Amino acid sequence: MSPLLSIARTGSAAILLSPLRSAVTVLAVIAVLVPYLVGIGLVEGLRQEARIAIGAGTPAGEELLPDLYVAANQFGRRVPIPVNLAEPIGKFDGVTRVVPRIVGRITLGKENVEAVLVGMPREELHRQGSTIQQLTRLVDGELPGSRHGEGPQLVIGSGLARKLNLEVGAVLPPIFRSGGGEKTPRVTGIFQSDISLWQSRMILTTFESAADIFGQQELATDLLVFCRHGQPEAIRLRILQSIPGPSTERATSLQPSVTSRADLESLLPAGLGHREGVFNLLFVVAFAVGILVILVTSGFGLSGRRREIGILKATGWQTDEILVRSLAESVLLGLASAAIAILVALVWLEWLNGFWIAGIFLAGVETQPAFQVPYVLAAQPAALAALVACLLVTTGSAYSTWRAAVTSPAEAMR
Amino acid sequence: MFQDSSTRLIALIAILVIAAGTAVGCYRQPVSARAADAAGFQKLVGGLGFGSSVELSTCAVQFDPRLGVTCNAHTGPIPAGSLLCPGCGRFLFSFYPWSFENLTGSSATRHVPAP
Repeated sequence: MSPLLSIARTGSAAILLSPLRSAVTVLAVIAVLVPYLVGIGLVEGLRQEARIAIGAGTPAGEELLPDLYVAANQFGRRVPIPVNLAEPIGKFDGVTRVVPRIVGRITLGKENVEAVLVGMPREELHRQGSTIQQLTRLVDGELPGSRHGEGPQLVIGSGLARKLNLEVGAVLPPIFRSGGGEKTPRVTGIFQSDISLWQSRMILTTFESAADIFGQQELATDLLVFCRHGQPEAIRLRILQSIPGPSTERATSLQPSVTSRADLESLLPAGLGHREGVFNLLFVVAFAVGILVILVTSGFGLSGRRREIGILKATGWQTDEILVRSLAESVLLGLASAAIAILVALVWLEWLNGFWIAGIFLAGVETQPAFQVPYVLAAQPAALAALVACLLVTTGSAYSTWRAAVTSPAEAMR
Repeated sequence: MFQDSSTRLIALIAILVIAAGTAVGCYRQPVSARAADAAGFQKLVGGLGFGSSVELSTCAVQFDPRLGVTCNAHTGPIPAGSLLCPGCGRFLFSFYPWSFENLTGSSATRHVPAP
């Protein structure tokens, strides 16, 4: 074994010589690294879910999600769009179909639990439902099929079901009063908890029932436009130029806004990445504080450590050899800390399902999330965590070791 | 096998590093079954959900930018109000509120024609 390797190997012995100091150092590094790894894991998982939600990477010609989302603006803000605009858009060359959709905010129960009500046309729901191979993997129960004036049938998210203690077949207190009197909504299905985080507070019903609940007939939140392959850009231009047309009186004061898949894809690197940068910046500060913490923890058993270094010096060790020994000790501690931090982060996300911490990073999520928290533990942040852990421990302990190593043996052993 | 304690410690650290590396190897990709289910769910609702919020009370834009162009606080009475928005400001993983400047395609066309 080479002399350098022999010296480095004594670094592991040094860890065992001061177990309290080593344990505190490892805990300090883990305390900094675990939230970082969990946070980065969550944002990567969220990014993957967002890609699915906008249909990024969908094979050409495969109609999964709309190509364009047409909405209306007034005074620079979003307003409902008249459903009758679907007809002229549907006649554009290259448009395969136009589907109106309602998305709105409602509160339920005595605790005013926030929910997102989504209304899709009954035919569209059943059309899409029939194309999904195993609908039971998505919904425990049945898709809604209520018509205008009937009691709404609802598929509710797993978070709402748990919070309101609802099961399939349960009825909700009347949440609206239409011209035909009070209608009692009935739960026909519950979304499975592991399909998406956004289902958690969602209520899916038919377009007609959603219009009844909000009391907004003939209006939609947006129009979903499905186009033939290669046509969306041309259709978007045509919509912006010709909608609203002269015949649509109600719509003349509205300005259309068309969002394409490319627009949403452009938000992924610029959007989530922006906040991720803020997150990284905060952790740079945390790491800087971590160095100070390690400096302080180096003080644990400092007198013993000085004596130990003094004895080594007295037995012929050189300052550089002592520093190599200390470096090996720091690297081993750093690697151990990073490995434990990665495993703890994995346990927190996989088995504890992001208990508590998911609510810190995601809005509207309970302490114990009612859905499978999305995460991806990528290699890059894990490698970065290992590097940072080694640097942190090395930087934190190098100074105190060097101070002791340059002192005369007699002084150090005193 | 490992006679002295320092060798045992090195072996333990090696095992930890290998375990962590294996964990990263196993969990670096999302589960494909979940991706398929998520795609099915998105088909049902027509594509909904994008940001780090699961409901609309904090900021609709952070739930899905398809529901609103900008954060309401951004256009409110307080200058730079989006910094105070609980949706945009509090959650580290919320994305930057959409503005026309962020758009890449012809959605960037403003409603008032440029001279």
